Amino acid sequence: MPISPGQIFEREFHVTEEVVTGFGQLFRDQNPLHTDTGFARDHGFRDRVVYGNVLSGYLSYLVGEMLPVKNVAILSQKINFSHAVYRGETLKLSATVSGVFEETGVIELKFKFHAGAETKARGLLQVKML
Amino acid sequence: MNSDQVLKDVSRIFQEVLDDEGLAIERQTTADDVDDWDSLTHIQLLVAIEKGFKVRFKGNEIQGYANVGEMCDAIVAKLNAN
Repeated sequence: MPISPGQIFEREFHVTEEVVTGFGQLFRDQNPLHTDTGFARDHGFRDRVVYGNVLSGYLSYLVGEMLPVKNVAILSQKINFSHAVYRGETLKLSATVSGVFEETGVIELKFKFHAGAETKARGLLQVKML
Repeated sequence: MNSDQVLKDVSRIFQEVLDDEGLAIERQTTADDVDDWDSLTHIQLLVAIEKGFKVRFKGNEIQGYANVGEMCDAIVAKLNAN
């Protein structure tokens, strides 16, 4: 298998207004937490919160574009959000290969998104080699 | 660890992977008996079992077990061989 335990994949993503607005329009989620600054502030956030699943899009990029092979599919994905993401932030995604299961053709990646010193989300991806 | 103890842990793994706390797994259970036990879930189950028991399946074992009981017996054999 061309991927080894301990291998690290890293990339930065700038969370633009275009990404957030596009996500909301595409999936028709116009919840005010994501679109209304006043609502977001009334609920303890400093600004409109980026959709959590925008980060899933970056995970899709990780699997589809950053791994050294193309014959891959996401088998499972678990993500825990620890801090809100805001428009204009730059997220650094760091994913480490934590397991390689040769016979089943599965690799596991532990990943973390952070902006500066703040961890935004972390989780585990299982990717099947096709 | 005997096959009954392994079955208990395997059942817990099935419940976690399939997200069904009430799922009853017995030795004679097959994929036909469990609604969501499809080919991709099968891979997830095997990976979870490999991690849970710290064993590795061989290529011919991936699709080779007739039922859960055979899988448990194979896990016991692998544990005893370690």
